[in-house]
Amino acid sequence: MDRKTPELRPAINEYFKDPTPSANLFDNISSHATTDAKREEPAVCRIFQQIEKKTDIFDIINPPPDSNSHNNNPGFEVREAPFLNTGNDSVDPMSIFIHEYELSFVPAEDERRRFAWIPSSKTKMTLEKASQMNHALPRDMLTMPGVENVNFANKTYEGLVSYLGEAEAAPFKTKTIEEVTQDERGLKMLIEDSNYSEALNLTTRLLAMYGQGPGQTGYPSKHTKHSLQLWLTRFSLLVKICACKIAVKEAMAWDNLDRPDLYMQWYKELYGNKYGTLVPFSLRLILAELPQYATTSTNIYKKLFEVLSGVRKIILNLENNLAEDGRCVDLTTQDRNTSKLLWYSREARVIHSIINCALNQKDYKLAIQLLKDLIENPRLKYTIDHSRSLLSAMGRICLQVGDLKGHSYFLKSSRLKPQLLGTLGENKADYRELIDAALLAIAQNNYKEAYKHFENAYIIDSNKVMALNNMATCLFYEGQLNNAISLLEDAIQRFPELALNESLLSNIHCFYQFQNSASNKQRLLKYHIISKYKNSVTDITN
Amino acid sequence: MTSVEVKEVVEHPIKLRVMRLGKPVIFNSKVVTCDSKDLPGAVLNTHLKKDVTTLANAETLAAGSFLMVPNVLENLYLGETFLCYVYLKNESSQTIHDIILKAEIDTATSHIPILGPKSFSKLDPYASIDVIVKHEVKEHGTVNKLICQVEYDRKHSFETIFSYRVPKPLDLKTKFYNTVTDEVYLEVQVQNIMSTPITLEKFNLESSFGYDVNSMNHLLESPENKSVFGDLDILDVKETRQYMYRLCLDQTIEKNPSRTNNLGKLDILWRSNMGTKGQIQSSPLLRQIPELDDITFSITYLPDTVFCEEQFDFTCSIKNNRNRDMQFVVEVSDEEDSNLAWTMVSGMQLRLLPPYATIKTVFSMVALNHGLQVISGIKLKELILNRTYTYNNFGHVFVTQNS
Repeated sequence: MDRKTPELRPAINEYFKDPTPSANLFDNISSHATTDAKREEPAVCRIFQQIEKKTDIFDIINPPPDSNSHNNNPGFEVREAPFLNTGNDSVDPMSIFIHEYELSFVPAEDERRRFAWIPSSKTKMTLEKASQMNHALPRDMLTMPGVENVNFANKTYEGLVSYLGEAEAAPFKTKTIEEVTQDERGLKMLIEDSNYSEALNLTTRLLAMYGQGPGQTGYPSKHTKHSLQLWLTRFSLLVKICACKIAVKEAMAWDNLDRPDLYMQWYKELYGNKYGTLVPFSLRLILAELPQYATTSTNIYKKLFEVLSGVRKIILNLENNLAEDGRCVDLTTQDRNTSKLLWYSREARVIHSIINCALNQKDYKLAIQLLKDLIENPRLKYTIDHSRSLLSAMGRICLQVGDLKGHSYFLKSSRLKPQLLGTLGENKADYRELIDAALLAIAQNNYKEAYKHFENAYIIDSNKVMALNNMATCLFYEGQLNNAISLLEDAIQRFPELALNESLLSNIHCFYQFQNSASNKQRLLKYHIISKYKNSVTDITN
Repeated sequence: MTSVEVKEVVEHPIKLRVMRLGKPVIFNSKVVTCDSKDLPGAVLNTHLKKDVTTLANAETLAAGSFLMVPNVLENLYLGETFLCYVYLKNESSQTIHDIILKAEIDTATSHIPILGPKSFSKLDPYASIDVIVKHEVKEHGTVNKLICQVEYDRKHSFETIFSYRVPKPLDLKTKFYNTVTDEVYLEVQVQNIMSTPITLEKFNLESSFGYDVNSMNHLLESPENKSVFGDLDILDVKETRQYMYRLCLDQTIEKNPSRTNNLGKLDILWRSNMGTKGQIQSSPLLRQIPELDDITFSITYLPDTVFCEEQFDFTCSIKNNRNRDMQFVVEVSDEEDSNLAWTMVSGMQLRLLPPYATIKTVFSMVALNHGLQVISGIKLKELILNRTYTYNNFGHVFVTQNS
C-alpha cells in the first residue's frame, strides 16, 4: 500500500551520518554559535557541588526516583534505535534550589508542613466554634462535590490490534480497569500505563463510595484525606486529557477550598489536635489554574494570585518564627528550614503556573514581569541548570512576542555555562545554546541556520524528537516538503513512544494534507489511532 | 481561516497547491504535577519530564522549544511579508514535459509578478516542484490575490487563485499645535488593531528637509535615554501609545526655507510572533500653515526678574517674512499707568532688512514699581511701504526690591 519511491524518503542517516551532513540539504556554510572557552577554576567548585543539596520544584523532600526504567522504546518494526536516550542523569535534573539545610524527616512534622493552610477569617471563626456547633454546618458552608456522569471512552486493545496487527500493537498494550484492583493501587497502575481514561473511570467508581459519585453533587458527604487525593488525581487527569469542560463543572462545588469541612480542625475526633487542611496543595493549584480553560471566566488570574498570596502569608509566618498557619508553636531549626524550603518551592511553582497561564492568554507583559522577578530575586540559590533554563525561557517568551532583544537573555544563559562544565569546559556550543541560537535564527527568518543548529543539537542531546521535529519544520519553510515529511516519519519510527504526541502529529498532519497522497492518509490515520490510544485523548462531546 | 487552501483542477495530471505560511509557533506544554507523596506519586512528574515539548530543568514553565506549523494563521497585515508555499506535483505515472510556472500578485491597483515565468524541462512521475514565494504587502484591502499559472506539454495550461485579505495593522491619529515662533508640536497616537500583541521595534518621525525633530518620549532625568513607556516595547492588542515631538525650523538654513506644510512621515517597524516583521511608513504628515504676518517680532532674551528702579535690557528679533527689502524705524512710547519706562532712544533706524532675513535689536527699560509688569509700546515703522506694526502686551518681567 505504500507506493512511495525510495528517493522521496531518504533514511535519516543520509542527513546525519554523512561526513558533510547538511551539504545536500543546505549548501551554505554557517558557523556554530561559539562561546568563550573560559576555564573555570576546578577544585573548589566541584567540591561545593557535592556538598550542596538540591531540591526540586515538584517535591523538595522526596526527589522522584530515577526514571531510567521508563526508557522502553517500542517500535513499529523491530529495529535498533541508534540514537537512544543516553541521558547522563547523574544529577537530578529537576532540582532547582541549592541549599545547605539539614532536612527534617519526622513524619508528623512532614504532615503538618505539607497540609498547612491559613483559613479565611470567617472559616477560622467557625472552626473555633466547632465543638459548640456540634459539628453541624449549615448547608451553605458545606462542600458537596460529585463527579459528572461521564464514561470516558474505553479504547480497547482489540481495536488497536485489529488495525495494526498483533506485532505492531504489542508495545502499546496497557492495562484496563478490570485488570487492576479497584483501589488506589490499581489507579496508580493505570496512570503509570498512561491509560488515563480508565483511570478516570476508576476514580468515578471510588468516589461513588464516598457519596461523591455521579449525580451526588449538592448532597452532603464526608471528606477525608484519601477522598481528596482521589479528587486531585481526577482533576489532574481531566486536565491532562483536555476534558476541561468537565473539570470546570466539577470544580464549582469546591469553591475556594476554604469551607470548614475541609480542615482537620473540624474533625477533632478523627485528627485529634492537628491543624491544617485536607486539601493537597497540588489540588489547590490545579483548581486555581482551571478558570483559564473556561470560556466564561472573567478574571482568570484571581484564584492563582489568591493561592500565591496564601503561600506568601505562610512564608512570612515561617520567617517570623511562627508556625505555617501563624500559631505560636516552637519548631526546631531543622523543621523550620525544611518547611521554608517546601514553601519557597511551592511559591516558585505557583508563579510558574501564573506565567503559563499568561502565556496561554498572550499576556506577555505579565509573563515577562513575573519571570524577570523570579530570575532577579530568587528566594534561594538556583542550580545553574535551572538558572539557565529560566533565562532561556525568558528569551523564548521575548521572541514569541517579537522582541529580538530577548537575545540578551540567551547570552546571559551562555555565560553561566563554563561554571557548569568545570574543568571539562569545551569551546563548543552546548545543547541549550544551540536551541536558543536556532530559535533566534528563525526569528530572523534564517531557517537554514536554524536547521544547522537543531541538527547539531540532535547529535548532542536526548530530546531528539524535538530536534527532529524542529528540523522538519525548518525544511518545510525552505520549500522541502518531502524531506520534512521523511524526517517526521523517521522520528515516529525511531521514538514512537515520545514522538506520537499531539503536537508532532499536528505538524505531520499539516504536511500530509498539503502533499495529499493516499498512502499518507492511511499512515496518518494509524498515527492518530495509536496516539489516541496511548495518550487517552478523548473527544469530549458531551 | 485555515492555513491550507487547496485548489485543484481535476483533469490535469499535475496539480498545484498553495499554502500561505505564517511563522512557526512554539507549542506550550500542559503542565500537571503533584507532590510525590500524593496519590499519583511521581508518575505525572515523570510523564512531564519525558514530554518532548517541555523545557528541560524548568519543566513546570511552559516555555519549551517545540515548533509547530500554525493551524490557524494570524491575519496578514499591511507592511508584513506574504509568504507562500507553491507546490506543483505530478500525480500521474507519466513524465510531464515543458512546464512553465508563473506567479503574480493582483491587487486593486496593480499586478506584481513575483515568480518567473520559470521553465522546467520535465517533471517525473510523482515528483514535485517546490517554490516559496515572497511579497511585501504594500496595499491593504480585501481583493488581493495570488495567481499561479502553469503551462505544460506546450498546449495545456491552468491557473490557481489564492485570495487573501490585508487589514490595517495600526491606527494612527495625529494632532498639530502651532506656536507663534513657528514651532510645531506633534502628538501621535498609535493603536495596535491587530489580533496579536506586538513589539514596536522602531517608531521614528522622519522630518522633512528644513525641520529639526526633538523627540519628547524619553525620561528627562535618566542617563541612558530611558523611554517613557518603560523597558518593554510590547503593544498589546487594542493598546494605544501616545508619542510627542517638537519640530522647529532648522536655523542653520540661511536662505528662505521653503515653508513646506509636509512635516515628514512616521517610520514604524514592529515584530510579532517569532519575529514576524512588519514595516510601514505613514503618509506625509500635513499641517495647516498659519498665515504669517509681514514680519515676525519675538523676544529672544528677557530677564525673568529685575530690580526696582534699575535699568534692564532685553533683546528682540525681527524677521522679514516677505520677498522684499524692509527698512525699519523703532519707536518706543511709555503707556499711561505703566510701571515700566523706556530708557532708550526712540526713532532709531535699523539697517536694511533683506528678504527673509532676521535682525536683532536691544531694548532698555527701567522698572518703577514692584510686581509682575507688562511690556508694551513698541512701534515698528516700515519706511518703504510705509506701514506701522504695533506691539503691546508682549512680555512680562517680575520686579523685586533690590536688597
